[in-house]
This record gives sequence, C-alpha cells and structure tokens, in this order.
Amino acid sequence: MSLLDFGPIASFLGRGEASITVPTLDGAFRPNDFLETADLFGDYAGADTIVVADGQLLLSAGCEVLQIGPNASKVIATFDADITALCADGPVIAVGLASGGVSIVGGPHDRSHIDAVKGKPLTCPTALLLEGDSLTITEGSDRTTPTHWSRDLLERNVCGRVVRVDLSSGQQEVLASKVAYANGLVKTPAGDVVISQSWHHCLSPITDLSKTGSSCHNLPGYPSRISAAGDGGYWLAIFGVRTQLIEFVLREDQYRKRMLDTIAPEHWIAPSLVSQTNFLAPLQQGSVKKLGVLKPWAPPRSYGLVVKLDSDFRPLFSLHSRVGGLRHGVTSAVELDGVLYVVSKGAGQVIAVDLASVQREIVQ
Amino acid sequence: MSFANTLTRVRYKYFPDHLVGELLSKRWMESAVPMIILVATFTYLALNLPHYLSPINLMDMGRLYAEFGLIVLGMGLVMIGGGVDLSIGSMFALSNIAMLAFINMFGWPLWVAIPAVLLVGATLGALNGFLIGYLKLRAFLTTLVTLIIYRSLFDIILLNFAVEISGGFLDSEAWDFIGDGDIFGLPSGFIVFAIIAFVAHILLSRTRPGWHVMAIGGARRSAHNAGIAVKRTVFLTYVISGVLTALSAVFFAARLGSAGSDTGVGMEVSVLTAAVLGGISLGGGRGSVAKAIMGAAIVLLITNGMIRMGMQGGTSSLALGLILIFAVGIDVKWIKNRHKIISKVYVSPTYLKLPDAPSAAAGSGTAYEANNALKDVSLIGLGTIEGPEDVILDRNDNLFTGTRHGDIVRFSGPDFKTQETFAHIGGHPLGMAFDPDGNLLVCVGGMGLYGVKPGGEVYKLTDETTRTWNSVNDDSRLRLADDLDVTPDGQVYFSEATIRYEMHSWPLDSLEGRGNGRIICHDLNNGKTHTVIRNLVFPNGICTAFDGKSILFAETWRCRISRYWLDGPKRGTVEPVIPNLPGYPDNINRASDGNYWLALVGMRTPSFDLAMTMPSFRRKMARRVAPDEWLFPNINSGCVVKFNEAGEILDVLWDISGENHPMITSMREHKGDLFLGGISNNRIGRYHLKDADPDWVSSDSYWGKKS
Repeated sequence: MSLLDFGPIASFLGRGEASITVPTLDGAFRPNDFLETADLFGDYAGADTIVVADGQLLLSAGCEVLQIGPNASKVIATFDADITALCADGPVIAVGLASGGVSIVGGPHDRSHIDAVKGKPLTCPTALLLEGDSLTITEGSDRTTPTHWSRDLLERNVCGRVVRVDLSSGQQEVLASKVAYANGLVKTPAGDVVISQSWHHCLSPITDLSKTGSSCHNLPGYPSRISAAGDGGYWLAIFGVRTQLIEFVLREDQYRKRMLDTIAPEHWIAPSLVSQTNFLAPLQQGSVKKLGVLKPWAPPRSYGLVVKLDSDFRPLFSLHSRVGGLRHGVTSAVELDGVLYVVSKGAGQVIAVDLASVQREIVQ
Repeated sequence: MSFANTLTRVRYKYFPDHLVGELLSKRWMESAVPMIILVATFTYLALNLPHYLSPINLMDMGRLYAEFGLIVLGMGLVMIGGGVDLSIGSMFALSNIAMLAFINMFGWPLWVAIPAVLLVGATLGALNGFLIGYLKLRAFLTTLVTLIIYRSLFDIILLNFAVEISGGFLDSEAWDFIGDGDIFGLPSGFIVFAIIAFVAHILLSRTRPGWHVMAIGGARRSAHNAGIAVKRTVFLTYVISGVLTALSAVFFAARLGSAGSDTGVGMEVSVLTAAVLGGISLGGGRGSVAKAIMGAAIVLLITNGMIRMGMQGGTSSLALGLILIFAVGIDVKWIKNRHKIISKVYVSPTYLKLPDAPSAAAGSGTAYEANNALKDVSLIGLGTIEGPEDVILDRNDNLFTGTRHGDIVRFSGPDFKTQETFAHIGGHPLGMAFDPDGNLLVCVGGMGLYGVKPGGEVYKLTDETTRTWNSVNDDSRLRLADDLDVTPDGQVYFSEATIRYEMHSWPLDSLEGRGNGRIICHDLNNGKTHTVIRNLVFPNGICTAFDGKSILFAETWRCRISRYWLDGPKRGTVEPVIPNLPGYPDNINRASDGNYWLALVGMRTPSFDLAMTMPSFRRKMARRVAPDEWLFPNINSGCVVKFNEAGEILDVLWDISGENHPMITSMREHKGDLFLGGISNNRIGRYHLKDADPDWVSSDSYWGKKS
C-alpha cells in the first residue's frame, strides 16, 4: 500500500481502493452444478430461512413459519409481516420481521416483541441466536429494511449492529456496531460469536470486525446465514456473487446516486436474488446469448452458492447453481442427517443435497 | 443536475475526444515529437543568436549538416536492421586521413582518390559486417573493439606521416568546389546529402532490400524463416554505413584539409543521440530516413548552438549524454506501452441523451406491449448455421443467409430442408438485397459491398468511398458495411455502422454513442460511390420506400427511424419517422400490406440509458472493467415491429421467453410467412402471418412481377 492507493490518484489510476478486482471462482469456489441438479425438496414461495429444531426442519416463508417434511408441511405460526430472521431453541421460536422488531413464540416469553434496542429501533433483523433467555440479534443496517438490502449495498452503508437481549431481565447490550450488513451469525464451540458482514465479503468474530478478522475473508460473493455442519465445520450461504461491474459502480458515486434516484430498484446494477430475464434489467457483454446459449461463466447478476467451511472458517468446497440456472439467491442452508437443506430464495425452493454423494464427487 | 448535464453535453459536443486516440495511432505521430523539438530549437537559436539566419551562417550549417547527416543515415540503417555501429568515429578519421594521403602523398587525381576512399570505408564497414553478420558476434562489443582498432591504426598513421599528409596542398577547382562550392546557394555537400537521403528513403520504404532490413530489425528469426538472407543483409548495412562515413570524410577533408588527432572522437555518441532522438528505435525494425534527418538536425543545432552561445566543450557533451539517456528511455517505454496507451485513449464515449423510452412491459397497454407471439416459430437450419444476420428469399422460394464463416448459405424451398453453400465471400455477410437482374447484393462486414450472381459467382461492387478531407482516420475504406437497399433507378444505398471500429469490435461503438456511421450510395449504372449522410449513430437497417422517392434508415444506438428524401420537394433532407423507440432498431424491410417490418435487436434498459448521459463513466468502464463485464445494451431480448409510412406502430411480435429468438436482427416476409434472423443466433425462424398476402414476394414488390 502506498499513497497512490488512496483518494483521487487511486481513482484516476484505478488502483488501491479504486481497484475493482474480484476473486475468481476457483479453488474452494470452483464451480459445479450440485445445487442445480440436486433434488427439489419443495416449492415455498418467499422461503428465506431454514433451521433445525428438535430434529425437525423449520422454514420461514413469507409471513409464516412452517414445519416442513418430505410429505407434508404445517404452519406453526403466522405473523403480520414477512419474516426476515428465524431461530428456534426447543419449542421456542424467535423471528425477525420486515416491519421491524423481533417476536417470540412459545415458552415463558410467548408473544413478547422487541421493538428497539438501546433506544434505537430494530429495523433490519437478519439473523437470530436464542439460547435459553439470551437472544443475540444481527441487524443489517439502521437505514433500510431487509427487503431493501440492495439499496443499503449501493449506498455503501456500514451501519449494522449485533445486539444481545436478555428476555427475562430485559437487559440489552450492543455487542458490535458499524457492521457492514451483519447477515448471519453462529456460535463456535469455544463460545465466540462469528457474524457475516455481507458488504465486506467476510466472516468476523464480533471482537474483530476488520475485513480480515477471520480466515474467511475476501469472498467472491456476499455472505449470509451461517450454520454448523455435522463434522464441526460450517455451512455458509452466499446470496449473490460480486462482479467487476458492481464493484465499479460502487466506486462511481455520481452514477450510483443518479441510478438510485431515477431508476426502479429491480433495474439497478446490483446483485439480484432471482435468476430473471426481464428485458429492462442491465445486461453485461458476456451475458449476450451466443448461438442460443447463455454461457454459464457469464457475469452473474444472480447466482446460487453454498460454501463448506472447516472449523476454522476456511473454505473447503462449494455447491453452485451457475448462470442460466434457476436456484439462485441462496439465503440459508442447514444440515440434518447427512442431507443439506438449501433455501433458494430466488427460486422459492428448498433443495435437498445428499452430502454423501457430494463428498464422493468432490473428493475425486 | 440539469446544469451539470448541459455542461457535460456542451463539453462533449465541442471537444473532439475521439481525435486524440486516432492521432496517437498514426505512425507519423511518432515523428511529431522530434519535429516539434527541432522547430523549437531552431526558433530559439534564431531568436537568441545574432546573424543566425544570415546566408553565410546557413551555408556553413548546411555543410556541417551534410557531413553529420550522412553518418546518421548510415547509423540509422544499421540500427533499423537491428544493430549498432560504434566505430563510425574511427572510420571517419581513417577515411579522412586516407583521402588526404591519396591526394597529398600519392598525388592521385580526385576521380581515383574519392572512389578509393569510399572503398576504404566499405572495407572498414565490411570487417564490421563480416564479424557481426556472418560470424554473429554482438554488434555492440564488436564495433566497440573495431572502434579501438581503427582509432589505433589512425594514430599510428598520423604519428608517422602527419607532415606528409597535411603538408601538401592540392590546387584543384573540383576539390575546392567539394569543400566550399555551392549550386543555387546550396552547399555542394548538402546537395549530395539530399540526393542520397532521397534515394535511401525510396530504398528503405519502397524496395525489397529496404523491407528486408526492416524485417530483420523487427524480428530476426522470423525474417530468416521467411527466407530473407539475414547474414548478407546485415553485412551490407555495415558496408553502407562505412561508405557513407567515408563520403562524409571526403567532404570534411575537402573543407578543412587537415587531420588532427581528435578527428571523429566522440562522434558515436552524437550520431547515436541523433538517431534515437529522431525516433529510430534501438531495438531495431522501426525508423525511417526522415527520422534520421530530423534527429541529425536537432543534435547539430544543439551542439553547434551551445558552442556559439559560449558554453564550454564539456557542457555540450553533458547535454548530449543527457538527451541520449532521455531519448532512449522514451524510446523503450513508448514502444512497450504504445498499444496500451492507444487502446486506453481510443475509446472516447460521448454524451447521448435519449428521450424517455416508451414502455414495452407486458400489461402496459402500449403499442409495443410484450407478447409471446413468436414462441411457435418453426426453425430452419438449427445448429447448422452460425450468425444469420439477414435472410432473403428469391422468387423461387430459395432462402439465402450469411454466416460468420463468410459463406452465403442457400436453403431450398418450400420446405427449406436442403442446405448448401451458395457462395463463399470471406467476411461475415450482413444485409442483403436483390438487384433488378436477380443478383444478390451483400454488405460484408470488414470488406464492403459485394454481389453474387445467380450462379454463385462473387464480384466486388465497392470497398471504398470518397475520403473526407478533414478526417484523421482514413475513412475511404469501408469498415463495417451493414445493410443496403436498391432504388428503382439502380442506386444502392447502404449503411456503414461505424468508421472507427472493425467488425469484431463493434460493441465498443455502443460505448461511444457518437455519430460514427454514415450512409453511402453506390451507383450500379456507373460504378461510382459517394457518401450521402455522415455522423449517424450506428446506422443500420435501410429500406427503400414503396414509392421509391425516399429511403428509411435506422440508427441503432440513437433508437430512431428517419427518412431520407431522394426526390420531391424535400429532396436531400432527413426527417424523423419514429423518433423514439423502446429498443435498438436493426434491419427494416417491406411488408406485403404496404407497411414496413422493423427488427429491434434489443431493448433499452434504464441503467444503460443513464450511462449514455455519463461519458466519463463509460470511458472509465472501458478502461477498468474487463470487456465481458461491460454494461451493454440488452440485446438478449428483442422483437419485430410493423409500422406504416407515418411511423405509427401497427403490430409487434415478441419472443419474450427468449428460447429461439432472443435477439432479432432481421426479418423478411415471403408468401405469408415471416423469416427471422439473428447475428449471434444459430437458427432461422419461420413465423406464419395470418392476414398476409400468401403470394407476396419481395422481389416483385421492388422490380415487378416476372414470369
């Protein structure tokens, strides 16, 4: 790093903070088609978060929490707004809502609702961790709701926080603030809380929020929910993949401002969850169909990606749905009995990936 | 914001960004820098030294220049051939003393002595040439060694025969003339130098041996592989360098008539500086006589000027050394980065503000409303043709289309199952039309306007048009002829999409959004070609109106259709027909009901429209972002539109799913069916039109019915 890497000189030369290099999908991120070819578990419009509670799969879809199984699913709870975060501890369920706040269902605090923490409204709950009476909440941003995450990215906000609330005593504590869109959390066996910072493309222990705080940093995409894997590692859902164009637009303040002001959000140059074909959406040169084929290595506006991390959060391998596929915008993945259940929010699907077969093919 | 917009618009309207890149990519631009230095130095000296422009002074300078220039020419030739000759100073001294010896000691007449001296020079050069060319020793070391050897030889001769050599005095008018004379006020030496330079220029730039030297300097191994006699040619460059040095010494001897021990000392540095400063690359393969002449003039002016301004000898050498290092640095860096710089500077986007796009969304209720009418097309040639930009059918139901392999493919009707290569042209055939005789006229990307006779024989109509006097790029060659149509009186009007990019890099033109294209007219009757309309923004489809009095043309990035009047009261004027389309128009063709079909190759996106109003954003994108990642016009979804003479939209056909025809570049109606082509597609679609005339053939519409 030198002085040339900052300010107008960097901007003129395109180096340092103005450089738009994006990690390639290689190494642990080498593309495959596991997500695209895996079995469909079920279609659930608005599916967002999947968790395991007492050996059962719980899924938030729209404003409902469902218990899903291979044959039947039943509604466990319904809320007034879309659910943006979900966790369960035994029979107790906590959900974050798009309208703001976190609600508890079941247990001694049934129907209690947390609107604000430390005087600031909880506008953007993205992930929860409930352990007895202790509830840890990640908040993506204090300026937008989870529905409008792309605006938060394009505004380059770094204003999320991680808070802890004691449900019985009502005690509140801010564990971390100025987080670049906290979008998932997990507790390690040692008791540390690790969160994902979507806009900084990294996982961070809450004690060190720098971009290189953990061994999982400079990811090629935007990390989301984290869950523990059966072998002591972790599963990380990545809901979108970085592209040079988006990185470039993020550095072009004037263009970005005018785009946010004058163009409808679905037509922004921004990652998308849905693998869409709207003709008003921006197109990149590599995405032009040639001889009737959209190349799978075209610059991805939307992408499906789940990464396996080891117990030190080092990426090991990943499961993909590439450009041209449907199962994009993966927001959550959870392992149960040797099967990885992946939520593709873009496709409104839950996908069941048989980990034994993945392991076989990856190892070869 | 609107003020900033106006400012941007004005700035891009009046400042010709695109010229910077075009100028830089010219080879002669490399000579511009030394030329400027030369003029500046001369002006400075003329203003600051008394009597600098007086005839006597200029005459003296001319003599010095001739002597110095001859040696620089020789050095330049050696350097262009990939070598270097450091021994010229010593060869110069030896030749000088030889000349004086021949006439003073031996008393030879001039007509013997001068050729003999040239022979001496040739011999000295030949030794260099033999060692470097045939024995393949390193040029730098070898000539450094011969520099010392020749210098020692000179010292020995001078030590033993100094008196005899300098003592005599040749009383000859011819000898005086060589040293002192002039013709029409030009010094004799200067005239000889001018003649030799002219001959050398012709030799180097227009003849086979000259090209061989260039080729060897550029890539020795490739030159060898190409069959060039590398050893002999390199040998000869050193011989010529020796001869030119000896010739220079003759003039020197005639002018001064003496030999001092410092004759020619340090000459290699000033000669090398002159050559490199003029633009002759140390790496070989790049250089010209003009560059040598310029470099010699600059160095002579500087050294001479410094002496006359009273600076001490050391200063002058110091200055020369610094100039040499500077010139070499520039030379190396420039050659290495030239292409990088040009490619960065060449793309120069401009301000293009389009009116708000009319909506085409499904359910919007507009004339363009998206539908899926084309989902049930039947396919022709699926997977066997690549890149059918345009399709056309003749009276016998044969379908013709171009492919990116440079073929014109024919599918025989009425089922279009039989496919054969009708003709091979070489470039990618784009727009097509039939002339009255049934010849197929084709615009070929990168080549021009061609014709194919009914038997499949290819002939060229034109590949050039009139050159614009003030254009930097040569715009007489056709780079990207795109679509064409023929008027009833035998004029072929065709569009050239851009004059700044070649066929394969047309996407760069979409980033520019400048009026880089034109419409050209070729007269079938007399074979003449001239440009009709300039500065159009990617002109594409062309169609002659049904009455033959006007042509309709599409400007792709400008998203509009206009009419150019060929006849009538508005003759020669352009008027808008559809001023604002929701997508990018491509080919236009006639429909059976007296209206026109228009292909929209892609749809406008709000993000790209915004980018078009921000040239600096696009320029930065072109430099920073990999081409595959560029923001692009959305050409993954297009449609076919039918419009009437007034420009009203009558019908629209979409393949919104994008399964078969994500991008449509052309459509042709024939006997109740519509045939669809796409430049990056691998199929032709056939769509049945319910209400169309089942007997309508486009050739009949143009040229009347034939049996």
